[in-house]
Amino acid sequence: MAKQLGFHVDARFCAGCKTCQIACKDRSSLEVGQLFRKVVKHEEGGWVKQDDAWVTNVTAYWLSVSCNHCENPACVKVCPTGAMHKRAEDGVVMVDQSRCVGCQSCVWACPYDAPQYNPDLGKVGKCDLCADRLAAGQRPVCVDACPYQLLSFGEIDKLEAEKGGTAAVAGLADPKRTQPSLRINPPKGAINAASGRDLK
Amino acid sequence: MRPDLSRRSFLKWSAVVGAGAAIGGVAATQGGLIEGTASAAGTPAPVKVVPQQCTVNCGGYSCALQLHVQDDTIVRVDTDQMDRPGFPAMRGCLRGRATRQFVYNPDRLKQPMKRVGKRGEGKFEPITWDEAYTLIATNLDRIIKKHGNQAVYVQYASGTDGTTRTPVTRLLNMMGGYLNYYGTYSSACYNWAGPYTFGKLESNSGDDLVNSKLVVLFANNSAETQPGGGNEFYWQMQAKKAGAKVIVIDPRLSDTSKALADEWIPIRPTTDNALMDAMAYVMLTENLHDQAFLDKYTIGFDEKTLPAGAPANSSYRSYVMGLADGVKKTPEWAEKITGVPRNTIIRLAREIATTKPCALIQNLGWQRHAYGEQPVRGLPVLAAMTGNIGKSGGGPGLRDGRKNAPSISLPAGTNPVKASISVFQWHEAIERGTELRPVDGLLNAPKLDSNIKFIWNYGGNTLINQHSDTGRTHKVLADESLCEFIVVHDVMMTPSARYADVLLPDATSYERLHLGRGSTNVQGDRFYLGVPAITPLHDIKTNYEVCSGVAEKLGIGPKFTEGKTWEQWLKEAVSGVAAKTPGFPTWEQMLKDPIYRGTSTKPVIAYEAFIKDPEKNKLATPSGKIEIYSAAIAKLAQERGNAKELPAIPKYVPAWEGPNADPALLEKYPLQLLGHHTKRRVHSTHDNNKWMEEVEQQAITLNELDAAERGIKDGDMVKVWNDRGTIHVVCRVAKGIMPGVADLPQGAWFTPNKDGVDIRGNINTITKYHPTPGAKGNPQHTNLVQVAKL
Amino acid sequence: MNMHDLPLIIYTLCLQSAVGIYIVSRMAAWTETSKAKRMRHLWLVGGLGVAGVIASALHMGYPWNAVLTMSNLGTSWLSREIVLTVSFGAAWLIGLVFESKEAGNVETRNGWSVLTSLIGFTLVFAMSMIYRTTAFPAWEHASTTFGFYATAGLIGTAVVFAGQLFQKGEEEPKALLPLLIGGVAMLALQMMAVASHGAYLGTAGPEAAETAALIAGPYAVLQWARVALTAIGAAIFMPLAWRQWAQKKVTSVPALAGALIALVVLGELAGRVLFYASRVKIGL
Repeated sequence: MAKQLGFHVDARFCAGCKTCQIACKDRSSLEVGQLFRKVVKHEEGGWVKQDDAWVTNVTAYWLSVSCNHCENPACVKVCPTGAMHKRAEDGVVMVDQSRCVGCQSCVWACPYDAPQYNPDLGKVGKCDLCADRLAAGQRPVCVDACPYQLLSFGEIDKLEAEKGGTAAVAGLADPKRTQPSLRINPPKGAINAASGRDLK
Repeated sequence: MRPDLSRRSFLKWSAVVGAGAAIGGVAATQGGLIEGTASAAGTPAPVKVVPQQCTVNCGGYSCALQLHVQDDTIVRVDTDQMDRPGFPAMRGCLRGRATRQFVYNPDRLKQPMKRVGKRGEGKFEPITWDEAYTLIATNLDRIIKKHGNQAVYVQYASGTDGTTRTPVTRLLNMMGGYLNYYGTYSSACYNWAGPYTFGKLESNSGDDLVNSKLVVLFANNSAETQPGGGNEFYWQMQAKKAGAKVIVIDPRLSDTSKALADEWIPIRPTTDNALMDAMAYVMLTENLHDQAFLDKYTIGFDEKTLPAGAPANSSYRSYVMGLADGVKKTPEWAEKITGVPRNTIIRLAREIATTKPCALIQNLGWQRHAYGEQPVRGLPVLAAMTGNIGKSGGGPGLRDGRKNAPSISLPAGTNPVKASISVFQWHEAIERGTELRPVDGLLNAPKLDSNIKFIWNYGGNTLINQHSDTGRTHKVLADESLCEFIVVHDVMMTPSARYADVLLPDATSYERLHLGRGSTNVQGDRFYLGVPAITPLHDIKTNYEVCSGVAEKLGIGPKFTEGKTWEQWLKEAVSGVAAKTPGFPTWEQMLKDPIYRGTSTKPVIAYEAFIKDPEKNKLATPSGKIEIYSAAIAKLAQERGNAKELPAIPKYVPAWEGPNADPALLEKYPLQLLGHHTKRRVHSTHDNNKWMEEVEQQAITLNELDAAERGIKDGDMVKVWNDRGTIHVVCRVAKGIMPGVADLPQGAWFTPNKDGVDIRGNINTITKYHPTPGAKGNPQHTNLVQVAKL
Repeated sequence: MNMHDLPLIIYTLCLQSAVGIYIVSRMAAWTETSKAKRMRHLWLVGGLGVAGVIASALHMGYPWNAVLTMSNLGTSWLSREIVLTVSFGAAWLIGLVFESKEAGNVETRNGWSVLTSLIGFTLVFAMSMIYRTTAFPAWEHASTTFGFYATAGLIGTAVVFAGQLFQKGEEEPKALLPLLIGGVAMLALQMMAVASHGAYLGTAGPEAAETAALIAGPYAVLQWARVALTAIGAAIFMPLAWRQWAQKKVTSVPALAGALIALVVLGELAGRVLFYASRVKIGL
């Protein structure tokens, strides 16, 4: 199989500081409303009053998600112009803005909200795994930003072999939909019930 | 204006604030947005990388930033990647990484101004720097002559680093001094109460946490207060990775608990002492405590170790067992107060008592309460009962530990005025300073000769935004007959800036030469030199320039500057430290590599020497031991006549606005309101940063049960109020907060509408000015409110 | 309603109406020989198509690249839709020229109509597939396709039938029975689409359940508006069509004709607004 780059997130210790989100925003000078990487909270559980005390089983965790450079990217499939494409040599999903018509089909198709519509350009932008930094031999900006070094990137098979993880985490789409190049060490409470429908 | 130039600068600026896309062709691709923005002129200007650091006051160290500068404009912000064993990379957090939205913020002050409307109205007109200096000098001179130096006050502020602040105090000392304050808004009770127990405050350093088997965090949300790499949270995480169990006690399922907690124990705010008392009860009744440790190292736990003169049944044991008041501090008793199930209390007590070593760690949230002195002294009792003090992996039950970094400052001289008020009392000193007496917390003077008449507010927002009860503060400040002159020198048009008589624009730390905070660091021995990354924007001047200008007008210019530039002062300061600190770099070396990373690698164990030999290495307390009972507090409380509120041993004292408050008040205002420190701001800094508003919209958080009871849905606008004020703000409905508790993160910019309703969500609209009994500190998490859908 | 959806609401309704009216009107005109009767509704179809295409261009952020949108026929239903829209337009135009010049014989022209109708039929399918390949579970179902066909069929039937009611003078009401049957069939199709969609939402995960809650909750008024408007439209259409067929003559009742069109179109509009407004995306 061809080389496939992707992200690994050790979500067990992620405190949701959103530094990755801001570093990414800074790198791409994104206006409010556009996030190439975002950090989302997932909460579950409830509260019961027992005599004078509160008993709870509430648990919550954060997930940092950007484009997952899916092996079967929905955005590429639906793009009418071919602007959205998957780079052959490393599987990075990129948008060629010179071809983008701004129809936002990709925005609708992606279960991870990776393509972000830029109303000023009338076009879509997204995480390109910091192609300029990769070309310069650097890591993606989010990976270098995480204050606790919980984000990694690389060949997804190697990442999985080295660090484990899954993309089937409550709060994220069923990985069968698009086969995301994302591995998460799930935090406590992240039962493997993905949202969205299992697409066969 | 030449069209090519204006276009070029427009491109530059719009790229900075992220709107470059709108211009079309030139910046039509993402790549163009990032670095090709100057290509309108042909070839892009080269990008240089300037090492700098974040200087906001999160309480951690200043994280390292690498500013990418192109065409004298910061175009990107990177961070530190240098990891060494024991010295993790000092990676900036979201706030530091959003620096461009700070430097190029539309709220930046651009020129000196003087007030033309009423105080607080925010109406100003531009003046020259010379006029500004004259105005300040004339008023300072007049007020000192008329009212004396005690009428001059330098407002508490933490918006910028310490070294940069010194010129104001240097200038005022040369003018005969100014009224001092003691304490800080962050740690008033901690720094006041802790020493009564230990003499001098120490803690095991962060890198010792990996030796713990159990880490219990009280009021500690390090992941959110100091998210930058290598701070306390980093070491807590290492402890967890090394196999320690982590328990977090907090009314909120904080980000720290989300990331680390094996168990989260929600508790009603202001009641932590009840929990600790009940745990002590369990340990005593089940004989799980370390009596030998208590006997050897502490006084006042048992009747037999009470100091002479202490009344009978005044020991901690007697209190817990109910010998003094007839109330046994059982888990059932504590459950009613804290909302923590009795079985949880029993289990927690057993776990803490039997897991060795156990690190009991507090932070500052719980001491910003009505009786904030109590929890500070309460947790060390448990640390002593379990014999964890002086042990690796244990600790004294104080805050997270740090190693000292060299402290550098410009010589400020000596303040001839000795009188000192609590940091929280300044507005009372404006209203009735001459009536303040030692019983009110006045130190080093029997009384004050004058009310405060002149305030110099440099780089801070405590003048209204961060101080309790903004409605009352506004009234005091708006009355020009009270405080006659207010100087505000800051980078932004903050709520405090609206109260200035003379308003001066400051440079951000990215635009001026400065030395790193010079404060202590978790992992020690870090120090920075900040070289300006860009030419200062607008017509701005630094504090040293301003103070030199005012000194000139006062006729003490040469005395103030000694003919030296700012750079020369800093050079001298650095060589002073270098002379005393082996391995410390020279100025020239720091210019090349502005981060001094230090070499200390051995963990610090607090009170290790004392535990090893308590006779030889006495603590700096009157008894030389750990004072669970403090005769000094007993004496002070007697003088102040508030022994019930300020007991000699740590006790649960019901807060005036808490779960045991007056039932009529609770009926009216049933929710306890906290104002936690959110990651999206540092106090009030970055409140006007739009990327941060996207990170987390300013909102009050309610538990889903409380919200449902009120018909409130997530995202609804709500009204939050009590007798002191009203706030209109968005409501977040969440699971991760205890029922009965609401949270409105502190620091939002006070924005009253025409009816005086704050429409931004500034918690101080409803906080109370009610100093704590000992430290006279700020109780800003002690609030009862009601919330309703708007 | 999200205003950004407006161009898409207009486009889908216009093009589905155009296809529906085209197909039904060609069936009605199958045995007709007079130019006037064969030309009936053709200009309306063209107008709707043009309006829809203009609206769809407004949805594109950078329409200057529109020419590139047909370059991913391999996987993109949007590419296919655009090709089919252009083809339908071209076929319609050729048909229009044929009919206006009465070129060739009626059979040849009917043959061309069949071809054009097939393109239109496929276009509606492609349109529905665009929605079925998104990350909105509410749309990822066959009911999207059925619903779009029902829209085309209902509007087509209503407009062609109402068109007869606008006519003055005696006409032999030949197509009344097929129209009646077709109308009932389209109503049944739409009811089936709505019912199967509702049943599906309960089985398709949390986001679909949220959509169901939106339809039952804040957007219930749209759902009821659509049902009520369509029901009133049916209540006008059916007895009228039945009576006219039974009496073997067409009476000119322009007020009722106008009301019928308005009711059916408004009903479909309500349904389409609901379709967009109640979508809930997967995850995050």
